[in-house]
This record gives sequence, C-alpha cells and structure tokens, in this order.
Amino acid sequence: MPQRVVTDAIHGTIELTDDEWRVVDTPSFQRLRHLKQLQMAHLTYPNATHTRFAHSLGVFSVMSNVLRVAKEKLNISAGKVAELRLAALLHDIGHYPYSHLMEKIDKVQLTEEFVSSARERKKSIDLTAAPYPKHERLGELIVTTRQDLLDALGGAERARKIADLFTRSSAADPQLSKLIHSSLDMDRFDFLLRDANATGVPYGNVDLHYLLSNLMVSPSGMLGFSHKAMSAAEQFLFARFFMYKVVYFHKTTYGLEEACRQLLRRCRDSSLYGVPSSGATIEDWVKADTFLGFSDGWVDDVVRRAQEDGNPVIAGLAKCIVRRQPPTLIREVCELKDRSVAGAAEHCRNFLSRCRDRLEKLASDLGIDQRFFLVVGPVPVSLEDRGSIHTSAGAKQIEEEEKDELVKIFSRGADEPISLVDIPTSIAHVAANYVHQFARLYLVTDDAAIAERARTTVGEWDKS
Amino acid sequence: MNRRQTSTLLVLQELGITSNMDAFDERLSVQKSIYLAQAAGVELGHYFSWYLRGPYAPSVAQDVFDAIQNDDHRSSLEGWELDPASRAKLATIRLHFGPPASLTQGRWLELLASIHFLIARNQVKTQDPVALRSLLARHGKTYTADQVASAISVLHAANLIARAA
Repeated sequence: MPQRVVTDAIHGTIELTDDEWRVVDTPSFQRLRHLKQLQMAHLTYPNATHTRFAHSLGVFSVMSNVLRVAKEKLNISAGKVAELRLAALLHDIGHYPYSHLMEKIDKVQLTEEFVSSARERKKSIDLTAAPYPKHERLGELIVTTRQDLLDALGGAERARKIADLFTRSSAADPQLSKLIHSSLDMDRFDFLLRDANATGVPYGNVDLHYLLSNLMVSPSGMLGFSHKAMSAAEQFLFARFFMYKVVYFHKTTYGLEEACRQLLRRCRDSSLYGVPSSGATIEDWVKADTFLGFSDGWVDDVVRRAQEDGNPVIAGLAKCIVRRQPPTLIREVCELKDRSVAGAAEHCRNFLSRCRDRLEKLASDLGIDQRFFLVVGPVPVSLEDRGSIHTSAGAKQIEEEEKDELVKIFSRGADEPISLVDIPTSIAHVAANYVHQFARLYLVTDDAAIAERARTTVGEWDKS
Repeated sequence: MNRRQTSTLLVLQELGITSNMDAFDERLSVQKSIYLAQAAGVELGHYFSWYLRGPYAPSVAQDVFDAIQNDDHRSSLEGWELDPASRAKLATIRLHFGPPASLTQGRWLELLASIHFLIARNQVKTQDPVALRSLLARHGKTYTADQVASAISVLHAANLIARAA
C-alpha cells in the first residue's frame, strides 16, 4: 500500500510504499541528487540541472503505471511486482559523476594517438589495468554490497534478485527484465519527457498516457502497442532521434564534455588529482564510504585543481571548462547515410582521414600543440539504438540479437506484435534505413585568428 | 578507432576469431569470445547481459561493426600490441575454442559462455550437466548431455569456473 507521496514536475503524484521509501532514504540512493542527468547540458540550457535522483523516481513512476496494465496479463506475482518497482527505482544507482561522461573516458580518441604518425610508433595496450566498468556493473556492485541498501532491501538474496533485473542477468525469467530494457522501456519515456521539460526543447515530448493506455500483451508475453497508437509510437522514436541530434549532441555542450573527457583521461593516464588509475580502484571505492562523495562535485574539484597544472594541455582543457569558454568548433561534417549503400559515410570518412594525415602539420603551421585539437566521430544518430550499423544488412543482423528491444505494434486483429520499423505503412519503416552521422574538429584556443586560419585550412577536407 | 575498439579487435586477433561479422556464426563467435576473454581476466569494459543467445553486449557489436566499416581499420591496428600477461591469458583460453565435431565454433562458444554466465552470475547453484541442460533448453538452446558435460570440463580446465565442492 502506498504510504509516501512525491510530487514530480513530469508525472505528478508518485506513490511509494514504506519499503520503497527506505531505499530512497539510503545514503547510496541520495548520492543521485548530486549527479546531473544531462552531464554538461546546463552550460547550454541553463535550466538543465535536473538529477539522476528525479529521473530514477520518474522511471519508477512509469514502471508502476505499466505494471498496473501488464501484471495480470503477464501473470506477475505481487512479489515480482515489488521487485520490478525497486529495480526501476535503482536502475541508475551505478552512474558516475556527470553520468555517461566519466564512464566513457576509455572511448576518448586523443589526437596524438589518432594521427598517422602514431601508427609508426610501437604502442602497447595494458589490459591488466582494467577500464572503467560500465554503470550497470557498478550498480550491481552497489546494490549487492553496500550495507545501507542490503538493509533497506531486506537482505542479500533479494538485493541480488533486484540487481539481476536491472542488469538483465536474470536467466530465470527473461520476460521480466525485458520490461526494463526494451525500446518501450521506462527509462526512455522518462528521460525524453524530463529532458525536454528542463531544456525547453519541445522535441522530446511523448504522448505517454495514450501509449500506456494502448499497451497490449501477446499470448507469448510480448509487449507492444495497439495499431491505434502507431503514430504516437512513431513520434516516440522521432522524439529520441531529435533529442540526440539537438540536445545531447549540441555542439557547445559536446565540445565541453569532450574537453572534460580528454582531461580526465589524461589525468588518469598520468595519475593526477586522484583520478582512479583503473576500474578496479573504482570498484574498491564503491564498497567504501568515500563513494558517497563520488559525484559531480568530485569532477568539478579535479577540473578546478587542474587549471594550475604544469602541463599546458591539461591546464588549457581545465580552464576552458571552468571559465565556460567552449572549444571552438573548427569544422562539422554531417551527412545522412542510406543504410542500403555499403561502405562508410563518404564525407565523414574523408574528413577524418584528412584529419589523421594532416592535423600534425596544421598544428605545426599554426604554432600550437596538436593535443589542443579534439577530434570527434563519426557519431551516429538513428531512430533505434543501432545507429552505428550503417548498412541494412548490418541492421538486420543486429536485430536478431536485439530484437526484443525494438518498439512493437499489434496490427489490427494480430495476436503477436511486429517491429514498428517493419510495418510498410509506417514512416519509421523508411526512416530506419537512414542514419544521421557527424564528425567534428574542435580546437581549444582563445585566439580567434588561429581558429579562423584553422577553419580556412580544413574547409574542404571532406571533399573527395 | 578509440582504445576500447582497438583492444577489442586485438583480443579477437589474438584468439584467432574473424571480425568480418558476415555470417551469424561469426557474430556469435565474436560476442562469446569477448565474453570469455573478459571472464579470463582480460577486461575490456564491455558489460554482458542475458539475451536470446546467452551473454551479449551491444557495445561489442557496435565497436566491431564501427571498426570494420572503417576502410582502414586494419592499418589502424598497426603498431598496437597487447601486454604479455593478457596475451598469456588469451593463449590459455584459445586452446579450448576448437568445437566438438557436432557443433560450429559459434554454437560451442555460445555454450561455454552461457554456462559460465549462469554460474558466475549466480543464476544456477549447480554444475550438474542435466540441470544445466534443462535450463538451457528453456531458453531454446538445444545441446546434448555430452556437449554440456564437455563444456563444463573445459571451463574447469581453463580455470574459468571453480570445481563444485
């Protein structure tokens, strides 16, 4: 029975039981109040300061509504309903400071490793120093080892069951964890609505209530929407596409985030400012109380101290973040790639290839350190998550493994739903064959003349 | 290519797994061999969940597809090499990658990775081949009792799972 009530800007009244409230009240969960949901987007959209805490409650609310519709049709017991609600509440408990920003520092492409001359040097990858674990792994560790959560969840066995649900480890009943991880998942419904509301960019608005009122369950247990809600489902996919294109990959936000990623990566590689040297250290932190301070403020402190570093690249990256002087966008190459045509997107490929071959000389001509260039891409954005799969054949191959995650529709009179992108009358059927892609070159500089010279030089680098 | 992509491709190279991803069995082998490499302690930063064919990480598919669509991905690997300790671990598990005559390599690696996942993530409390075979069958994985027993022996021999007390 609901005992506690939270008023939320997106979902209105959210009701929690005493058991659920005990979880919210733990220090481990309260840490989420200090992690911004949208990384550095607040530096572009001033109101985008909402947190993982609010988002987690939002996902919990959507899950509660979905379960109200689906629990009888899926024959889910009251005990499982309680576990699913808790899994939704805890699904983001393992997030790093600035969310995905810090988690992805192993994907950073440092210019000195990217340029052609780097190929001639002998390089070693030391995998004995583990990369930073994904947030799902940290979430699993937090829920199954931190005493405050073990107490609130009623013991280790129950904590393990809940972690298995949000990490999709549960082999006992795959249908249940699908509820959290499918494309119609609660996570996306909440973040699109919440981020649109906070940024003031309207593209993320989703007709959530209509979609939920048209949620159906097939005899085999597949979830999907009635054909009546096909347009709302299409709009949901397009909402995600436009939010990525406009908000999450905004040129200013992304430039500042890339500067921060590169800064943290350089600090980690040189063991500076306490940035953990490996994923093993982060896993150790999780088990200690120091973890409670592992929040956005922790990164802010690293950045603040790095401004005075003796390495001009580290100091330069730090200053551009603290002073909010974003890296200058020297060139952006965008294109829409038809997945049915083999090969990489031509303009992005040409541009990145020229960057690889010519950036060292350009830096030398401009009299700057090449490490002030930040090379980004190719970054794909598509209707579904399979953005980087550029060919139709590639997209089909992925579907075999990830097909549970596609948004599904029950055609009129059909017992089982099919993927929305496979319905010929859907606009998503056509749009899914394309992927938007961009590559960018930023320069960390406060010298407008140097930036302009760089712009002039790289202007044609995407041409054949 | 970023560091994670480079590491992932180097590990596949070291394990003798083709990364061209054209056939379903090749894609299965890529996923499951990276899973087993991480299980052996060569941590690449991919997180595996339980999908239709057992342990699966979308980031592995993304990284490998991204890399092979890049025309010069082979030359991007030039000059890079893995540390000796990781190479030694990979050499040990590679010894067991050859499938029994009745299975393709992808199906064999799927069996090894699935059993390892079920045990390592505490989804089963037994190493009994009959019980494991029946759980796998519930997920549409049809293997013979001999194949399951042989996979358990291999996981022991490669030190990927401890023997049941």
